Amino acid sequence: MIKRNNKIKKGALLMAAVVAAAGIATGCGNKDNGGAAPESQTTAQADASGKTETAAPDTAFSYPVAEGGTLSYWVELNANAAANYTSLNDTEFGKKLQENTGITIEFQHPAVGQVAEQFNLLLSNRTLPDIIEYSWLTYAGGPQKAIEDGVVLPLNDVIDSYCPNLKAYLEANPDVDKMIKTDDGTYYCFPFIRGGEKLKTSTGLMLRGDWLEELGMEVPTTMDEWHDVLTAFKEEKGAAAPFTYWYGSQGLTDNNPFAYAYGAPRNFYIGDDGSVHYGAVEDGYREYLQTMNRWMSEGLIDVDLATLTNDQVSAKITNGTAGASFGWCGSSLGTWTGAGRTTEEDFTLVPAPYPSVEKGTKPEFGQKDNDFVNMGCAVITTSCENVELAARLLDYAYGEEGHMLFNFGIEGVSYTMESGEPIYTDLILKNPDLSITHAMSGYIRANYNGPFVQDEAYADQYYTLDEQKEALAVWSDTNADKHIIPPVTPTVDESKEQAQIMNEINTYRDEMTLKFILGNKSFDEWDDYVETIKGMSLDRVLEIQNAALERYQER
Amino acid sequence: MWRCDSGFVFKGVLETEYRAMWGFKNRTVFFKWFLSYLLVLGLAVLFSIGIYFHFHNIINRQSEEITTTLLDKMQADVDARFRSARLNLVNLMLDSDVQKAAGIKGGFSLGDRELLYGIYNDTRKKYIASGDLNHIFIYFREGETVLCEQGHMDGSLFYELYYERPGASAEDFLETLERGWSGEDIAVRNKNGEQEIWILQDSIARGADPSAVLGVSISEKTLNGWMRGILWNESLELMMIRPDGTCIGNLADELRQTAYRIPETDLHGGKITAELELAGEGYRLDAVASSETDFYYVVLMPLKTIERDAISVLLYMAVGLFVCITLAYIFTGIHYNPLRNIMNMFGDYGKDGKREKRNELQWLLDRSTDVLEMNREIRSLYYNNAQTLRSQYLYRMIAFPYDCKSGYVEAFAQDAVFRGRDNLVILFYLEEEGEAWRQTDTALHQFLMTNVLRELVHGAFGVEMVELYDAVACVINGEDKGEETREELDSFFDKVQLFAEERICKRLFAACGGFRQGLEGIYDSYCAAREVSEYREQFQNYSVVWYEDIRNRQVYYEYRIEEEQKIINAMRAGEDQNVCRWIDEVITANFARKDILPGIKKCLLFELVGTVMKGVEQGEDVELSSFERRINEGMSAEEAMEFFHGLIRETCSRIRRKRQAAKEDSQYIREVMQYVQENYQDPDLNVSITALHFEITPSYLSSLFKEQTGVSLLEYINRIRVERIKELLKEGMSVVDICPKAGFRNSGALIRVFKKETGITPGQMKKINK
Repeated sequence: MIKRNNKIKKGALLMAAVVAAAGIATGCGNKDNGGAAPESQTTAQADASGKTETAAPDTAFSYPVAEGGTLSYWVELNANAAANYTSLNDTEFGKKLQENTGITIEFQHPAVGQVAEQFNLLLSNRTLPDIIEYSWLTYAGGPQKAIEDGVVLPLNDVIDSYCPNLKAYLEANPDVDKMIKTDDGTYYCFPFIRGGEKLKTSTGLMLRGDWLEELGMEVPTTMDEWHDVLTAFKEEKGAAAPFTYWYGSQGLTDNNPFAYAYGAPRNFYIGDDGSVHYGAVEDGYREYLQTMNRWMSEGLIDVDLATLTNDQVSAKITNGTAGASFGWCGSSLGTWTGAGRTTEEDFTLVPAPYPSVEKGTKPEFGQKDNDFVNMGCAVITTSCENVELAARLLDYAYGEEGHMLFNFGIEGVSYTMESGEPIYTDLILKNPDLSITHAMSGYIRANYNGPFVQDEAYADQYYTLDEQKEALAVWSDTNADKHIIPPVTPTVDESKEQAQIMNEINTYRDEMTLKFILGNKSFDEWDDYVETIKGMSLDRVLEIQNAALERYQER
Repeated sequence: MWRCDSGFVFKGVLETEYRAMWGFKNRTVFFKWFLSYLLVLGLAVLFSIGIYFHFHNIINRQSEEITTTLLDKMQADVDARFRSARLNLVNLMLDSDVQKAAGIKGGFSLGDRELLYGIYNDTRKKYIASGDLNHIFIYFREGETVLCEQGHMDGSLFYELYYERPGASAEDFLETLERGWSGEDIAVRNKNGEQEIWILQDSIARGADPSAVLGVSISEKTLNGWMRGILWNESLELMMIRPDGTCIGNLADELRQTAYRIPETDLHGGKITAELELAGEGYRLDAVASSETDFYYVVLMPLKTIERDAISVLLYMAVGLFVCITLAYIFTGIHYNPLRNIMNMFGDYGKDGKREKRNELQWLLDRSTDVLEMNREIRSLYYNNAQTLRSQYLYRMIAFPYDCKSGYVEAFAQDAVFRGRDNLVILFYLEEEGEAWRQTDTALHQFLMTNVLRELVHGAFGVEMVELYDAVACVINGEDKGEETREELDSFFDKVQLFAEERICKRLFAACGGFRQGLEGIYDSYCAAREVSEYREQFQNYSVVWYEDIRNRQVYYEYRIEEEQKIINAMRAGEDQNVCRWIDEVITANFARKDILPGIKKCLLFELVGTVMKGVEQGEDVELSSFERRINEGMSAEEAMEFFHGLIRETCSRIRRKRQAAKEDSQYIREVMQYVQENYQDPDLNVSITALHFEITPSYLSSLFKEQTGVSLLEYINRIRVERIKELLKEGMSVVDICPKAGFRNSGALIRVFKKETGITPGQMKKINK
């Protein structure tokens, strides 16, 4: 009992030191913006770390943690895991993680589909769980605001003292290092990192390979070829809705390949001039809409596009109502191929590259994630009483042992080592009762997200079909790197202002986009549309975005 | 010869005795002893059986109550959920977009998709908000399409995705939807074979025939979840049954497979109770009709659970009985063992050589001595009993009001002692000189004094004495000749006093109650004497005090009304320390005074309790169950203070807690008001939405709000809106323009609310403004 008291005291002392350091650091950050000398910042940080050195003098640390302890951990239960488990605690992964680290974790899961609401509710409580996993870049005002609100604990000293694994990774990957801190250099999270190029692309176009073969057509690469193929599907194959996809999914529609073809995604992107653009007001977007409107009236696109969900898209693709779609490599291409083959033996779906307007050019745009993805990002909250324990738990995933657990699970059960490479066992890949994703969800987190570095070897094995392996190569062959916006962090006021403006703009954009596509609005009114959006202070948002980008680049 | 004769005679006597004892007598004793054991055992067994049946009865009744409560709760709970599901349907039906879409003839055009998109979003929101529903859908008969929270699709695709099942074709499925519906519920099986309850309702269309049907679907899992939420006893089974044989519940498969159907006739008319056999086991079934659907809510209670409880009672009983008998056997072996006693007794004759050698004369002599001895004892027993009874009579005579019907009155009325006209009761107290009166070795002294007094007075008056509590009560009977008699008695007492002081170093105190007429006067006189004795402490130096002396000396306690007001105020403010301090002051001041009688001091305590009760607000209870007894038992000043401290601390802390709770509520309500002020422009804002935002039930929020502010939340929302309307009217805006700014969908609603709140229409208000 006495021992325990000491420990709490130590934790509190450390926390006080960390908070003090953060206070000084933010203060300096603000000055920095105003053009003050950065020297004071370094001295202040040196001071702070000097203080903490005495508080955490441990060198010979090893898992499992000797004294153990309990931490509360708030995290969304991924839908694939939720299909068979009610809590991460029940999964083999959760059990093993606790066994290996010697730390008891009390997982708290928000109701599926209500993550954002429950997150806001959570913050209104006075006592937070020790660790919260969330897409923190979406926090109103960004991560910096979360620190200022007293929700998130700044981690600079914590990482120095207790996180040798993460520290080593960041030193080896300066690009990632740049992404996961705020503009003034404060670390705040344990990030989810795509550990390879193949992992950064997951969506793209796909169409019926057997039909193409039957019709003697090539995989389309330009918009005109797509038009021909879809027309042929409609007329020759009797597809009632030749092209369909889950329009309601924001992740998909933000990356609509046909809009990309005209160089105008509906959202922000970095233009050739290196500044941030808003695609939905540019001429390319109009051309995209016009094409869609034409295709729609020609019956090449599913008339119910706006009111679709994944169930129906799956049904339409697999029963031949539709012949082409846009979706994910795993849950679309893989799943549909499997389902389609149960009724039609030679059913194949082949990936198509992101289309361009002119034939033979490498597509400028395509879907691509940053290394650091805005999801599954874990922070230690200010309510955490044992910061060291929490840091040790989270740092575990970035070490070798943790990396294997998060990506491949338990050796001998979910994977085996064959000539130095981890190979998933049949329990995962050929489970008679469960799909691969569901089977994986019991043992690893690589098939969704979390605070660890995702391993490329996961994708190589997860995608079992040749088409899938090909898809990743085809889809990722774009110049998208130039155009994606890194995880910038606007200031508190800026993000508030931006959120307000963009909320209005996006609602209007979505409404009008639908009207244009359905032909309820004539393209004569395009200029009005652009003016209306500009009248909603779009320029101010672009200004904010560009400023944030500049700050990011100067990190 | 003599020797021989006598030897024979005595021998004969002895032999008879021996035979009697060892023969016949011996057997009866054993028999009786055996019977008594058997009786004890039999009684216990009988009792046990009685208790078992009693418990069986109780368990039966309790389980009946449990099922009734369960059923009531289930009916209220599940019906409420059905109601809210139905409400979704009605909302959808009244939606203008839905009405518009339902009126479109000949299938939807491309342009209509936008309208569908709007409805789709709305449906989705409703679906998410409800949380309970499996689907919300609209089936458009014209195009045979379905719009649900999963999107707009062909009816056949909807069937394929969610309801495809061997044995139920798409045509059958859609045919169901083609029929006209008006809020009926039907059971449908989905793709997974799960049952769903659909509530279907034809839409109303704008300007055309209704060509759509709206539906909500609730899955069996959800229904089971609702029921499981109510169930607290795992051995019970809950289910919902419809006369057509649909059965939903957390039933075990075997139970379900018995394909149980309640005969329709049984189900008609409210509640039913029946016993039946399912899958080879007996169940008790209770059912009640739902007021929202055609379902009956049913509780199945396995009879064996009832039996099990009863049997466990029986088991305990048997164990208890066994333990009792064993213990009884062991204890009787130690303390009371008639068998051993008998053996011992006969052992004396059979084994003790001395006794056997004793001669006959000695035996006879012993016997006669025994008889004499016994006679004397009996006599003194009678005498003592007579004395005790006399004391008892006297005691009744003195200490209780006169009752001429009692036997003892007659007995005393004829007694020479009470021949005189007047009676006087005197209470004598013997006190250590200078010290408090003590019980120890005073009994003897008291006896002495009593006798002395009796000797002295006996010539002049009739005297009877009896010990009464801490004193000796003396009834003196004679003629009251006023002052003369008093002086005579005083002189007697002086003598007794003198005797007491000289011989036994005690002080005598005589409290005289005064002469009263007749036997009925005795009690009066006694009461007077009691009152006098209360003044004992103040008359330290007197030996005799008469009632007449003290009659006019009653002193009351001091407790001013201002003091009481001060204490009450402090209590209401919750300042328990001040209250305690002031009450202490009052108690100390009054208890320190010796001229106040203990009885009067009790009155003070009662008044103080009254003060505390006044300090507590109406409707509050004060824990007073023990105070009356405790005060009546008499308390010292310290005890009284301690008592009040406890009472006050508890009461005050309760007042403070209540006030604190009220304060927290008001903080909460302020937040609600803030929320309303920020969101009144949203036409959807109502009590439910607000409650949803604050995550409490609407009814609780309403009552809390009303309690705290005096107006209902709805009134408050309207008031805020009307205030806004007034402002905008002043700025000269038209009613139509004001609508969205004040949170109204249309001007009709605005005008209605405005008129309700202000009594005039906005138009009139505008005129007034001008």
